[in-house]
Amino acid sequence: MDAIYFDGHSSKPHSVILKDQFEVLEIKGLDASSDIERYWPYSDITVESFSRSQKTLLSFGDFPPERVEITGEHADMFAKIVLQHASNIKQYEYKITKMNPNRLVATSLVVLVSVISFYVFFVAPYIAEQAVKLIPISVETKIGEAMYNNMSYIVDVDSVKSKKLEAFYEACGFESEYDIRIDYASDVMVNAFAVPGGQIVVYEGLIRETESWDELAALMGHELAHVNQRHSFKQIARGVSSYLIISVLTGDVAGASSVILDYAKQIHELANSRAHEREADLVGMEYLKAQNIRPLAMRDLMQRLMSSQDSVTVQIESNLEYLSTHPLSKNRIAYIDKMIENDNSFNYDYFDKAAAKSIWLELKADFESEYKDPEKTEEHKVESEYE
Amino acid sequence: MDNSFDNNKNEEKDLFLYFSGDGATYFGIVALNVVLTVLTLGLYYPWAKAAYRKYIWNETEFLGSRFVFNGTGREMFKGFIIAYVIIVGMYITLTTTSLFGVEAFFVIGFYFAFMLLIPFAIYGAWRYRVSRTSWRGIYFSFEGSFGEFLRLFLLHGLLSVLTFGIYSPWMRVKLQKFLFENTRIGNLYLDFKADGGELLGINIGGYIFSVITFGLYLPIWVKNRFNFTINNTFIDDGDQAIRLHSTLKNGEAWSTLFINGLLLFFTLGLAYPWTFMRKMDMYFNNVTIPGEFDYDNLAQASQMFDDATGDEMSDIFDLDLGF
Repeated sequence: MDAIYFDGHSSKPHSVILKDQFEVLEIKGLDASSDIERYWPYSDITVESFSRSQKTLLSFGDFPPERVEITGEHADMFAKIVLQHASNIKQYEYKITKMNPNRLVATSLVVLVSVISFYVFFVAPYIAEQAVKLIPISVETKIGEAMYNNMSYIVDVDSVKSKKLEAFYEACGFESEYDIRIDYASDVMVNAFAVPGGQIVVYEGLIRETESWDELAALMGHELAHVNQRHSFKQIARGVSSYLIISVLTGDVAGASSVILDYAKQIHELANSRAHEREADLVGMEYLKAQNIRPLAMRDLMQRLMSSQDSVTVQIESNLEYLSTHPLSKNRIAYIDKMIENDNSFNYDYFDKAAAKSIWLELKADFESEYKDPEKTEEHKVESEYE
Repeated sequence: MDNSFDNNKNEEKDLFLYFSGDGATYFGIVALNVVLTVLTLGLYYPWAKAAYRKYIWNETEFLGSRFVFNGTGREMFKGFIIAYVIIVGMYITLTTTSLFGVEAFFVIGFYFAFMLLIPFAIYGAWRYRVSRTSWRGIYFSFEGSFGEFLRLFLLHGLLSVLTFGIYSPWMRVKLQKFLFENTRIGNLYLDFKADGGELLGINIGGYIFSVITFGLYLPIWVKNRFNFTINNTFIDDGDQAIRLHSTLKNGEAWSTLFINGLLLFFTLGLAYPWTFMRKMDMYFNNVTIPGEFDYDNLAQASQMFDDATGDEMSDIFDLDLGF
């Protein structure tokens, strides 16, 4: 056995012999002339290091500590004895050092993936949900405005028609704690989205697809539900809370964890926003019911989206992805059908809201008149094909 | 490795550092620490950092004895909190005051105060790391005063600004010299004697060739900078000062770093523990330490030092100390 003792005052090595006495490590000088004789209680020894290559370093006492370096077959034995008094984490670290490398990598991968998924799918959303509750509507509105200002360069707003949409919304009679503002985007894209704090954007392409006023009302209900349920704000909060842990982890583990977490986060956002879309559909239905608007309008809207081939799932830009990941329209029709079938309260008398209907007719009439303009028609065709 | 302390005197002048970390073990340590960090919502981070450092230090050997990182998670946690409070506090004050439209000089003053944190972070990080390192029970220590470091930083920083950065290699040399010559273990001091012009040449050449070769030259640039640091570092016992030297060659630097890049790319970063170990291996195993000194009779000189504030601050600023 090779054991070398350092007294803490000099780097001079002293060869020693170690003996495992009961609860105490006995250290004695190897040379006859040596006067080294130490007794270290195991509970006061620190295992400074261990390694794959049978080397253990023990230290004892306050600054400057005495040390013993053990090399060879006894290194592991003494490490194990002393570690019985050490913390659990230290014992784990020892096991890691001694594990078969392949098994170690496999185990680590499994543990890493499961803990990180647990965090991303359960812990981060929960924290985000709680954090969102604490943030007042006024702050949410401010943040939403800032976001919308940032993206406004890709939205070509028609302010005259926006006024009409707002009037339409008023005429439907929906209610919200938020100050709802609606923009009409002159774009053939079939899309609509809601920004935190009450800004709703409806694309011309989508209005063109509607075949009845209450389908547009259903769309409004859907987007309003996003606003009232604070969906995109929750989404952002989740992103931030996932990001926080990434930034802490990447202090030293730069490459690895950030990449993994980024991937996990994207998948998660997709799945999650589908849950939000579903909620918006169903809550939107409740809004229709409250205003005695035809519940099947929501179903018809889905039908239109489906037949317009690319549905609402048009991705404007990658930074807007979270605003536009919708479940497949087919599934949406299925669960709306189910809801109407199972819930008798949807069996109510509905009627047209004259004011809303006339605004919708006006908007549609505008398309008709534009249709006669050959240039516009051409443009419309080309872009439809492109989509 | 046998007890090489017996034959280190003058038989063979050159002594080597020996690094033996392996990717699988490091990956296991990373995994354990990531798990604990996630479960504690990030609070475990300083302990994780201590564990990484302990591993790296422990796998580095000189004359058969391993280096030890004596820092603890608790110390670093304290530093972590203090550094965060200072930096976040400054940010909050700055943003709230700028909302109320305060005078420009106030804002400039703030930026200046912020600037002062950088030398503190560099100084604090070096001091903490050095003084928490030991070998054969002998602690390294750092004796430079912050006032002196700050003076150097401001003076040479100003020169760098005035020369649009051309002077910055000389500034780097000055700061490195200050940090090294105040670092000691027992009766041995480090020293750094270099020509800023050489570093400027390395950087200009490195930049131009890296652009021309679409980055293929980067490993060579890294090698040149590493060799510049090592080859200009001295160990001094008061009687004589002898150079370290680096045996790192273009081929090794290039194959190590290029393959690292490929590994990281194709594993989406998961190979990080291995690439990091490969890099450490390349660095440590290429450092030659002069054998003229008596490493068996270093005397303990330093006091206990455990303030990690600057170290944590350097982390927040993401400063690369380069050594």
